[in-house]
Amino acid sequence: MTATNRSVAERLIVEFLGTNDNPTSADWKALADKHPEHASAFVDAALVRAVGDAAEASSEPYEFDAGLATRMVSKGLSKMHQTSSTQLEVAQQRVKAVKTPAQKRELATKVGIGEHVSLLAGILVGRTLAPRKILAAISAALDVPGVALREVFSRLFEATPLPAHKGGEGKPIVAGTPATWEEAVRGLSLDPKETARLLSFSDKA
Amino acid sequence: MRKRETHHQAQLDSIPSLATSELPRRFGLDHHHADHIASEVLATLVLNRVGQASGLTDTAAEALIKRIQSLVGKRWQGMKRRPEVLRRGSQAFEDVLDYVWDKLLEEKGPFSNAEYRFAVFVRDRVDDFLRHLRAEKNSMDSVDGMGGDDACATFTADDIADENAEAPEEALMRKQQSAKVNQALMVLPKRERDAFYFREEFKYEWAKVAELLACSVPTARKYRDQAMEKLKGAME
Repeated sequence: MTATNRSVAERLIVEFLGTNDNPTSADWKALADKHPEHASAFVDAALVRAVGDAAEASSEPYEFDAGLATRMVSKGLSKMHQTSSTQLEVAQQRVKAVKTPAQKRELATKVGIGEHVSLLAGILVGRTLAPRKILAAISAALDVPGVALREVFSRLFEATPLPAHKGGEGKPIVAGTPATWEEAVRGLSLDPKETARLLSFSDKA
Repeated sequence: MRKRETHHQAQLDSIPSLATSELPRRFGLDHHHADHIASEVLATLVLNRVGQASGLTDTAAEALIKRIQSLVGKRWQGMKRRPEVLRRGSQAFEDVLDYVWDKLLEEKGPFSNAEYRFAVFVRDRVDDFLRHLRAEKNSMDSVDGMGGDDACATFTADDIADENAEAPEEALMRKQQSAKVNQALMVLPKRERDAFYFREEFKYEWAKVAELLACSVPTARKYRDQAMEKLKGAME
């Protein structure tokens, strides 16, 4: 089998297994009927799947090798630190892309914050903790996982530069933790009805 | 975007509120414990590098690597006799663990819904790895495998009619199809394995088996018989 044939067969197998989680012999046969030139590769794939499944279902336990685990953890962590997270990078890019006031207004409206763009701006730089409902709405609007967004916001807050202090008296007030949603909403001093509406997004609501 | 299962989402949401000392314990529990953190959640923490600065990602990764070893280890027990696995020795197991971890780090989609479980991801990557190993071996064996003594021999309709009749031995063999047979099949030469599988599992007629093997019906039959003999020996 040439390398090209092998890659075609492999692609067919991956597609097939993607749609058949527990393929039967009849399913494999149907695949072989359709692509007889790759029948041998399908036999091998069918055997790999069947033997693996049987081993998983067997009562024979796997004796955990602690020494090997130590080596694999060390190697695995090293690889992880050398690679960047695609999901996190995508989330970072999508958050950064919301730059202009118009884009922020549009997103604020989309996620239910309405005209209070400063609330959204606080979230996007990590200054304000997004409640779950808002986070889910931003996640849907930007099409990135909420967990990645939370991490992006947290990193942005950590990276916030400290403001320069040139005053002669007193000390600068620097928040050590992001503001809660309630603090941020109340800080806007809106009318009671709008305040109540925004507070309804809160995790405690 | 795939939606995360609610109980996994709840676990994910609970992570920030768990004490730092509590996390390694809960990450280290296996799925038999009610308190365990799902592998899908650990994978999500790793893929998004959640809490990297505080060491949370590393703790999750360590637990996940150990879980991968357990999952792969169990599945691997069926593969130990494969020639390409035997040839690599214990290195093959380390290689498959590396492969699964590499693929996980490359993963773009979120885990944790009915159609995409972590265990399914690991199973599929192990099988991918084995197929690649097999493909490597086959390309090395291809010269030996293609040289049939009568690969181009002609066959007649009479051959086909006779050969298509099912012998009691064949029926018995069909009933004996089991994990053990499949395991034994994996160590057979490719043509014998294929002849057996096409005929006994796919129930192809001999003419079709011969066509797929690019040989005559008698040769195909010979391969199948050789496979039968070896399987019987392996089953004894």
